[in-house]
Amino acid sequence: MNLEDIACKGLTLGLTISLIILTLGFFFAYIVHSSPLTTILFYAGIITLVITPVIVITGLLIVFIKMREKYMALITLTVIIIIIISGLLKR
Amino acid sequence: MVPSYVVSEHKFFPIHFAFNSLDNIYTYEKHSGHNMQIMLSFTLAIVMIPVGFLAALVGIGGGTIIVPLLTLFFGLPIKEAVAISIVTVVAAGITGASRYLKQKITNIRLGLFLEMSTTLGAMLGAILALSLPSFILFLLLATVLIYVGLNQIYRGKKEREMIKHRAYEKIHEDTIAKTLNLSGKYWDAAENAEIKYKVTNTLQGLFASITAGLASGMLGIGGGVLKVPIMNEVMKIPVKVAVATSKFMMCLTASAAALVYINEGRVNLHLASATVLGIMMGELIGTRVMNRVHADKIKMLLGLVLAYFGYLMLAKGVYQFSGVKLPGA
Repeated sequence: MNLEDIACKGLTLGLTISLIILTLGFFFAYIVHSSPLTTILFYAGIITLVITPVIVITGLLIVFIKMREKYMALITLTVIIIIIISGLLKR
Repeated sequence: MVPSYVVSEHKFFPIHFAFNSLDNIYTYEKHSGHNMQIMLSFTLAIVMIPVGFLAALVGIGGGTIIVPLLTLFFGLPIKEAVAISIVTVVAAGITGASRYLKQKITNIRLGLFLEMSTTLGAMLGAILALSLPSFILFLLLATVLIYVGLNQIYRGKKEREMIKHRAYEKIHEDTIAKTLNLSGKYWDAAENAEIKYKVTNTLQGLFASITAGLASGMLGIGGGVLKVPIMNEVMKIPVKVAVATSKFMMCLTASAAALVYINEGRVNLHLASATVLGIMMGELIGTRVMNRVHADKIKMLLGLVLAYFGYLMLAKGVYQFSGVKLPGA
């Protein structure tokens, strides 16, 4: 399996799970109108969506390490570190 | 156009958008009318479909369109609109990236390589923004965007000729691109041919990406509008690959910012969920269409979007400097 396939499968899986949870959220919001459950579902859907790229990029780092591509592994690690620092700075 | 009653009812209800906990969201849901919520969410989702479609075609996140839409047409406070926009950009990025990865257009290695300098530039930009008057930043970016936009429109036909004559294949690959294996190929559905390309000017592209990051950090824009022309013009990458790679980079950058916003409880989950579903639908349609459209058309569209953003930035700069409001801004 190549890099594109791994990233594609990771992103598609995250997207599908989040889409199912959000649709369930709307089902409960507009048909059953159950607010606490709706809120939890919306939160879970959005969180799943947002953490998906983080999981995928970590997966790519592991793949680069396994493939012994030291430069690409270093670049991916740098990206992860910079994203974490920029996230902390925004906070 | 959003029905007027949606906006007017929206202003009447005691909606508290600053949600810090699940309790606050529950209170909001109790106080806002059920029918109004349905109408607002449904309208939001519908409005986001064309935004997602456009974002998928030209490789942008859509934040520059989403924020004015939410504030001007839906009457949301700017801070809430920005928080919803960030989450929506992540959704747009993931949907676009996953589709383009499936079509094997995205260049992951190149995306990760450029992401280093873009994110670094965004951090520097956020710091610089505190020390420079914002109207200077707006006017500077407006000049760059209008120039690049017009250039993209002018060079649209050249792009198609380059693809037809396999010129991207004949470009001299530099050492860094060779070492990191950055060059690649993709299937162009519009030309019905496999297009091979080689990456050049890697260092120049890396430094130019810092400017995309700087603009992003200083002005709060996604940076996709600059990433695509940088990859295409500086590093000589076909525009479709640039669009797909920009989408991949976008979902990485925006997810970090979105996590911060969600953690601080600034995101209205109800409205964000509606915009996310709408943008996903638009992106799914846009990503199916993009590879079937000829590259010159994409470049023309990108040029128009760039020029439009340039005008918006110019209007903001002029307004902040002189108080004069330009038409349409």
